[in-house]
Amino acid sequence: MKILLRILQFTVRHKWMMALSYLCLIGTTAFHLILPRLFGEAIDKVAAMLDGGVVSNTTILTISLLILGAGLARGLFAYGQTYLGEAMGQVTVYDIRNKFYDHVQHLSFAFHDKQHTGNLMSRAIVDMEAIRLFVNMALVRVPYYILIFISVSFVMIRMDLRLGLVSISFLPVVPILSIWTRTKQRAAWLRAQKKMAELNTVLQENFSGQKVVKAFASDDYEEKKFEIKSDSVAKEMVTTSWYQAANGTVLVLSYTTVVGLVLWYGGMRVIEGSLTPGQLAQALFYLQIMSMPVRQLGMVVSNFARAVSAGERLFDILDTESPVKGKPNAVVVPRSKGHVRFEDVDCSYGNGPQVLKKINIDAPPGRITALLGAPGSGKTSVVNLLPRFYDVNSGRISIDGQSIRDVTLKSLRRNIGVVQKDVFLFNTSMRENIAYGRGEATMEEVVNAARVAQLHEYIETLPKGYETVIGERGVSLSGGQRQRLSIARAVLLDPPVLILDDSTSSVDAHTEEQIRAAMEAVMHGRTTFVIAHRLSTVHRAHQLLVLKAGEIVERGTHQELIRLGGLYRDIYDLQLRPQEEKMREFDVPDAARKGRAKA
Amino acid sequence: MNNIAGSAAKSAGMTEEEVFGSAYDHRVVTRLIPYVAPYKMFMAVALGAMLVFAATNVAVPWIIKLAIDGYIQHNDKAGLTLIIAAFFGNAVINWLSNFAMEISIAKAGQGVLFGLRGAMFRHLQRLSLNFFNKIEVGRLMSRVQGDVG
Repeated sequence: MKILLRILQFTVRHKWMMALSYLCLIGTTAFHLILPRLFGEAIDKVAAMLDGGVVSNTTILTISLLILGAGLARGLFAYGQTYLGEAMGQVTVYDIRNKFYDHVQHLSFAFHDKQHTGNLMSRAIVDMEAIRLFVNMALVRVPYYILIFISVSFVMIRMDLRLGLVSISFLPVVPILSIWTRTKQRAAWLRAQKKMAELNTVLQENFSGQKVVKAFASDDYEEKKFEIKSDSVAKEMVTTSWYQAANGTVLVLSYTTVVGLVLWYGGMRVIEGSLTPGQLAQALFYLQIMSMPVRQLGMVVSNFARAVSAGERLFDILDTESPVKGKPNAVVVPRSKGHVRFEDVDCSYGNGPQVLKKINIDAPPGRITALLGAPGSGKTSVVNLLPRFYDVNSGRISIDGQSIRDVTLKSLRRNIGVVQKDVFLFNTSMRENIAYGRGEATMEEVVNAARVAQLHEYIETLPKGYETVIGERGVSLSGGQRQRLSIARAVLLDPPVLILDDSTSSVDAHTEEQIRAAMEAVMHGRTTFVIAHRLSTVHRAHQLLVLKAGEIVERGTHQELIRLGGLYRDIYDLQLRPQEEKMREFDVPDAARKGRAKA
Repeated sequence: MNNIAGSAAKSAGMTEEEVFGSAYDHRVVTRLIPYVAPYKMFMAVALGAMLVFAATNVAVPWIIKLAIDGYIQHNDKAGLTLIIAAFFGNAVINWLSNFAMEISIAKAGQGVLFGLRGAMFRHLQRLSLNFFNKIEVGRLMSRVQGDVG
């Protein structure tokens, strides 16, 4: 019930729409109730005529016109009721969907690490649809049905107490059966929605990872995986239908039984002379009004059960608080100088093992800090803490002496640019992709950024230049081009602090040179943290930090660490020296090998 | 969406989702038949149950007419009780046929959706990477999940 009320809180914001829809609802019910009375009167008048009584033609005509008018008015009100009910469902879902989307944007990396994209998509689309159906049902149809049941019961009891009581004798069955079904169906719907989310995840992963699927010829495996999930969705959906059918059909049976009882009891009363045939017909017409709501009740209960489980899944996300939160009194930090300090920083992901231990780094403005170490040593974890993608367990990170926890997340992240290794490109134009994060950038600024990132020449060769739409995930761009586009984004943002990963997939010598030049340009004058894989970066860095199992085990310049002969020396021998030899082989000038200009 | 409509949509500068098909397309319905075929038993039961359900529904006002004209008007209490017994018998048959219809339609319907989803997925696995480069994941998911149901 709590969940249903939470959903309806979104609807009550649209007061005027609700008021109008209830006006239509009352109108429909009123004209619905007038009709049997008019029919009953007409029958009694005709019966009187047949018995030799005198009834004027005008009376019959008047009743006929009243029936026609009431039917027309009922139709118009019913139209308004249906339209507004649908509209309320749509506006409610519009509000919830927006809130859901906004909320997901503010959740931390830790949340997104755990959630499958397909699962989130299923909640945002499939579960949202269940809410839409529910709003219409709960706010328009159910009150209408309740109003029908109450008013018909009242009118019938008022007309004839005993006949009225017989007519409504099936009503206690409705709540008993509905509660039983709702409990069963809620569990069934929850299972079905989970299965649908799993199916969505399989779909999303398969479509996003088509390259891998094709490279490993895994079509059969994928098809089998999909079939299993799809089959479980179908089975769970049949289960929900079973409960709906059981509930709905038993309700109809109990209603039909009552029609039989009214006919029998009312018939006996007519034979005995204590009821007119017109009154019996009137009672049957009133019962007929309840027929449609009774037939719909099975679906209503199913919808309620579905909405509860869908709401549970949606609010589960909406109630998730991001562990990375801005303080209420956080200040907006203007453009910083970029003096970054890590002081005794410890970090772990959730309840997992500690990934960083006692990290201390002092990165003065404009200086380059290179991070090296084996995969899993904690390099990425260090740089992820700076824009607060995750929070530290203990210790402090500051920019220009101010703790990053004391400033707003937005202003902090505006000061930090991230050049990602696997950059996500949106399915839009090259210009919009470069300007992502700075939508107001002028064309001139975008072109300048592309020039700095060594991408301008390539863009000029495209059919529509900067307006060329690049495919989803930038698949029409090579790895090197994607990386340079990411650099162009950072150049346009012009942050004082920069985080970058300088690894590249194997590229030709020309591209290699372009990437190196772009990286040097973007790092210039910024406090840079670079996960280093290149010799030129290592040479340019003002300090090298070597990590092992989450700890900084060596720090110093290239020369100092070479002399130390420790872990860095091993990395150099294994990873960096072969690059140097290759460059010598290709006659790359010494200045380029060691970085163009030592800052 | 057939190819002709798809190309027409593109030439008109619309996405394929923006093109409205006719309410009934014979070709689309014909193409659905192979997916319904494996569930012909359920469909047969659904059809049979539907006929019984419809007949028993239509019988209700007819029985009421018989009760009023045949017995109430002739003050025949015993006859009225007998026809009411027939009314209850009809109600039970109506209930059973209603339940059978609902369940068999649900089973056949979900079976058809299962078949369609699977066929669409298998077909997509055989399409080239170029196809996946051109169409966004969200759009594809909407087709497989949203349109199939």
